[in-house]
Amino acid sequence: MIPITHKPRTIVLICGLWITTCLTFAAEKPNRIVSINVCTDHLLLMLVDRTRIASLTHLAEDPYNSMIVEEVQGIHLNRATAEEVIALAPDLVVAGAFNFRPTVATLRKLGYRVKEIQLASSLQDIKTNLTSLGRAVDEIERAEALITIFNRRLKHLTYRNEKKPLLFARYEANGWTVGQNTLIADVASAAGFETVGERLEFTGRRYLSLEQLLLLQPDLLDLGYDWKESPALASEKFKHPALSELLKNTALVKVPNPAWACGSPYTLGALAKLRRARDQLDPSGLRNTL
Amino acid sequence: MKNLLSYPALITVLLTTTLLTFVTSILIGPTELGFRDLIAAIFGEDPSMTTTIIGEIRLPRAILGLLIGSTLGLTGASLQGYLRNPLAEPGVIGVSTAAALGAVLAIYTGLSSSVPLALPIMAIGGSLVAVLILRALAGNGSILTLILAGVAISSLGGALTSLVLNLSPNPFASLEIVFWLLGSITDRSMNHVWLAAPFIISGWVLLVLSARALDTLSLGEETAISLGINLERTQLFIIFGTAISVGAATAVSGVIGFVGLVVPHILRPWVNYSPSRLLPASALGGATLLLSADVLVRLITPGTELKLGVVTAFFGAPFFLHLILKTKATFNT
Amino acid sequence: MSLKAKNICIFARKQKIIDGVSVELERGNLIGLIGPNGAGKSTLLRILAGVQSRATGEILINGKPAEQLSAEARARTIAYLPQNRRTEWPLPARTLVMLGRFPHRQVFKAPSATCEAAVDRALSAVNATAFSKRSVTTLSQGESARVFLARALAVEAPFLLVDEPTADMDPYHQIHVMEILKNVAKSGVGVLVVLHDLTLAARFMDKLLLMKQGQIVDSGAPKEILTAGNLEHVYRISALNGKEGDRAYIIPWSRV
Repeated sequence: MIPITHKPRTIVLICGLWITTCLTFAAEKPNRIVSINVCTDHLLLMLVDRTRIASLTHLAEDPYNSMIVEEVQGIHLNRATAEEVIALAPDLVVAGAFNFRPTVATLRKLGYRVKEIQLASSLQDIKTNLTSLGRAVDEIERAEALITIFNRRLKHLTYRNEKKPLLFARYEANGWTVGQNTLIADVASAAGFETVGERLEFTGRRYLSLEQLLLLQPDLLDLGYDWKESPALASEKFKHPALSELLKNTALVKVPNPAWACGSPYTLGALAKLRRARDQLDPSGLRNTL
Repeated sequence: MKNLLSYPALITVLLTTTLLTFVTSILIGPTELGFRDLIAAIFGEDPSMTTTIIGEIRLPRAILGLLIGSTLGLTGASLQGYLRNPLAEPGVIGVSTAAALGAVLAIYTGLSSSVPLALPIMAIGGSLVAVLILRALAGNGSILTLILAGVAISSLGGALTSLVLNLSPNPFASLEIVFWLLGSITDRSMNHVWLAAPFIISGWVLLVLSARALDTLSLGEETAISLGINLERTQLFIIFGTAISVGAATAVSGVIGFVGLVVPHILRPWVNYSPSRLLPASALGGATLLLSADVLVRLITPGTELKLGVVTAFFGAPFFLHLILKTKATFNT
Repeated sequence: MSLKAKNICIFARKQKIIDGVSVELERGNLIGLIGPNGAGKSTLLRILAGVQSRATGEILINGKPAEQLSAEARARTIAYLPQNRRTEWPLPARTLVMLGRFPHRQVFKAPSATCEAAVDRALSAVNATAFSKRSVTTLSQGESARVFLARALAVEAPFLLVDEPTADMDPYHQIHVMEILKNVAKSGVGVLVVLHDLTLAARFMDKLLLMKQGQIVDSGAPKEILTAGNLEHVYRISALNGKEGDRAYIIPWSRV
């Protein structure tokens, strides 16, 4: 601490230095942020003011991939190519784990600051990602606030009952289902379900034949989006009579794909739906469709 | 010349193999099912999921294997008899690929969702166009012209199919190219059977009606006409019979190649080279072969099933090469 | 039974391939259709057989237009053996000959005793009974030619049209085939043969029809037709005429 007895010129010098330092640190707060991953789009929009966002991905306005279709109106949308990013002159680029690797590498090589957020494969990951991104965009307090709300809601939604978990199966196009160590599994577990992965003991995503699904007799089923307006073989399965047979006695839940394709606070919406379904089912076999 | 088996004996043997592979196809799958389950399902005693699995998943699959395998064998034999060319079959000459294009256009534009019959009809349209183009291009059936025309139609058909799938807004469409170009009857339903069967069987009728003419055609078109054959009518029956049955089959299974090439060739000596007798034999042989291949795809990679076209190509392609070498040798003598 | 063609015309690319030809085939006669390349001989044969369609003219079978007959009836009346004698599949010889019975057989039934007998007769007429069980592709040129001829004979039609039966054959087989055709004609069949070989034509034929550029320019016994004038005018050749005892022969000798 400098004694007050020194000359006023020194004081001015020191204050000037202090102000300059503050301003320098303040200049590091990114103001032209570009996100090239639809999952980081969601987190970013929650953490920073729109004025600081230079661009989000075009998938953000696709209802099959995004929960923020209305919110992104008016924001520039990019297709995650290096060229577009450079043209936007960002001071921070936010990418996800599944962005095209060469693009990310090129941007780094050109000197851009790139923050990579890992794919959330659990509810805890969502919180970790919020913290991590909050730090990168200099909104630590906001991140912490979001996490507090998240935790409160999570506590409220978590199923706390000693009863055995029921079986939940997500059966997407072409027979893809979800197993352990995935975000969906974590959400299902919080809602009082176990997934096919726990039953059949596999992790990640895997193909499940229709036969196996029938034999498993899940208590709750999510078939994914039906693609009525742009059909493919993938959507043909909805017409399969065997599936109709299964659906006679199985509760159905419709969770929008982007709610849990990306780990974000919106994922709690998926948890809410599953929790509601859980409450309506009970182990003795009372079935209600939602 | 194989004089070991009389014709009725041969047909009996082929019927037996077809029945055996049909039953095997019903019993093999990702879930364990035994013969007892099959019997219980048939006699309707057990209203459980096992019955649903057998009735709605395994049975349609086996029936389709039977219908499609027979179609491929039959049309292969018919085309070879008509074109007097052992290298002809709907896959090689591009008819199957053109049918796939028609089917893809029906499904991915949404047409078949509102009009289910659009699927087999557009597939048949595709195969008709291909057969007519072939007839115009390949004329008197010179081997080289036929194969080249077939390659051209096949390549174009495959490329256009991929294009349509890539342009679809559905994110899964481009992954389904593999289904259409390599073929599969996994998880098909009785709906597909009812959709395809009437057309397939109509096609068979037309082909069988022209069976006798095929015998005389082995002496050439002029001799055949002089023996009383109505050549225009025969051509029409064979063209439409092939297009209709192959079209409907491809509409539900994608392109499955080589069955129509291999089966008639193997069975021809056993029917003493009679083109008309080869037809029923090839139909049964084709059914046996395809049902066996379909059992194999479930045994080789039980998790994610191989596409049928992979298995058929494994024995078909080397066979095709062998045929070409043999034909080349005949030319060089 | 009579086979008559009146005023046949056919065009191809604005040219008259056959121009106003009238022909009558009598049973029991071996008639030769001769002429230079491109005269329209094979085309005329195809038209008579019903294999090719004509532009104008009539074909009368027993006085009735050929169109009134069913395809099977016509096939039973006129047997045709084209120049192209090839089969893709290695059929056994007997099976191939049995195809000649097609116009007489019923759908999907096994061959009747009548058919088997006819095939036997045809095979023995061409001396092919010995190798009737062998596959056609294993036979020599001469043997397979006789088997194809047997197929045409097996039809047992009252009229037989043959295109170039002796092409690509050695002298032994040429003479053999001509002898067979002569016997067939003698047994009551009206045989019309397209032939290039003038020596054989002169020797075996009962009657000759000389064609040039789509028209029949002369017809009659070989002696009357194969005059120096005709040979020079139609074939642009001159020939040597000779006699050995009571056997007369003619040999094309030089270009004119």
